[in-house]
Amino acid sequence: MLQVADIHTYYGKSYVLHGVSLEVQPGEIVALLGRNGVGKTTTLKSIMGLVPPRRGRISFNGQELMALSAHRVGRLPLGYVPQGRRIFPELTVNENLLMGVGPGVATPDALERVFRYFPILHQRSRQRGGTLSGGEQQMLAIARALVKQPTMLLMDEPSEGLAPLVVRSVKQTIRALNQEGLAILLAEQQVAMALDLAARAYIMENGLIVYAGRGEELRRNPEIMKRHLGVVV
Amino acid sequence: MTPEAQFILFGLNGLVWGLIIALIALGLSLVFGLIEIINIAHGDLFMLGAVLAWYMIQWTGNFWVALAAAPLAVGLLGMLIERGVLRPIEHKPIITILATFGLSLIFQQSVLATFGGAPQRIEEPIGGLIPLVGTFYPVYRVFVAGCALVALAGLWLLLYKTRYGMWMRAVRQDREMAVALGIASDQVYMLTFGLGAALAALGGVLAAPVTSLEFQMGLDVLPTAFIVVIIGGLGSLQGTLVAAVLLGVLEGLANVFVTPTTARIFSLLFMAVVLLVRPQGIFGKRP
Repeated sequence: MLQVADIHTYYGKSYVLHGVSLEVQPGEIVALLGRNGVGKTTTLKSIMGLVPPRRGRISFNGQELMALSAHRVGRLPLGYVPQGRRIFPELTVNENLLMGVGPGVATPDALERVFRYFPILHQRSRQRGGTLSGGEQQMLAIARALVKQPTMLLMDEPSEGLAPLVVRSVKQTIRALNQEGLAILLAEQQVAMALDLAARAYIMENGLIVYAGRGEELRRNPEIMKRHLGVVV
Repeated sequence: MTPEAQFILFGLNGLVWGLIIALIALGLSLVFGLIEIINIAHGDLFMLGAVLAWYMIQWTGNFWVALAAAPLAVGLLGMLIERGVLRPIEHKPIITILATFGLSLIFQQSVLATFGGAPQRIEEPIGGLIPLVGTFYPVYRVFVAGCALVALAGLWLLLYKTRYGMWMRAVRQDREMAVALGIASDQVYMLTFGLGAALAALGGVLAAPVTSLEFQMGLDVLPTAFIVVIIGGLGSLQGTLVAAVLLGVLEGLANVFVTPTTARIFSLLFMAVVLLVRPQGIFGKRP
């Protein structure tokens, strides 16, 4: 479904991704693990075309993403839940959701489905995005990515800065979305949470994928986790 | 004329002028809020609106054609400027100031070369006087105020009740995220710049019959528009409107007692006081 092949990405003159390859099959959750600053966010931004790679190939459902400008990628059924949530603070909850369809039209069905997942957003629909709590903003960020009815989600640190109870509910949401058939690429620092959800995992270090394998296999190899992630779960 | 009548007349003149300034300043504020660039040529877009209106009236003899067509033409010019000049330099602040200063000179000199250096006038398209506290007030000025208010209401509706307005606000708050959701931010920039230019030109056409037209008439309004944007609070549209009206009325009333040049001192003092008390402007948010 998503193939990333040997992408090299720069921020100005600094060389951030040194040839990253990964893939996500329909319906699976794939974890992208790694310490802070190893290139997880840049990988997701490269896929979205926000930081275009200089070399490599990215294809989504057979379409070459590097040939498209970023706003064209944003119109594909590929939802993006960015790090730090990036809610439009001055827009209402409802407007934030409408932004989710870009220049398209939000169907009542899609909005209803989103409100079924997150009833709290329905109650707060006229409130400004910036007035929501961190957990509600995370829900809104996920909901905003869902209104265009994507077939795949890119999620960047959805657990960051949230209370454990809220993290648990985000986790349940991710699982439920996946059970409805959504493929998910999940960049996370919370290794335990990511491995609970994901069937497969990649570990990044210094702009490279240093490990790729099944989740259980990684759990059975504490040395690998210790060496690349600094934690064992 | 009684002193009270004089007071009311000058106050009203200030209000009408304040609303014209509001149109110009809102254009400036819209562009600054979105792209964070300072458009030195903004005053000249006001001038171009007035001068184009003069030409159109020469050709068609109809002020109403000019009122519709001149802002449209200047709006298109604004879009061209964004696409052809500002986008290639990536909206970099310092180069933008230089580039728009260059455009300002080009516009002024082109008008000087074609329109000439002698001031021209446009006749008020609506004659008549309204009796008011023992004296009379021109109907056209009331029309100007009404027209400006309608344009401001339209701008508000565009920004807060349409999808395009929502995209503008979203791009202003977080450009990258808006792009990731499929919004073509380049187009939003271009249309916003065009809209800002059209507002300045609309101010120019409305002001044309109550002032004299010459190639440097933009030089006067640009600092006033900047003062208004700063007093109102950078990026706050309500603040810009309130500040423009306040400043207009204040200067208008000051004209009762002193010369217009001295009256300008009052508005500068007003700005200094506002910035001392509220550095972020009346409606601005604390950084």
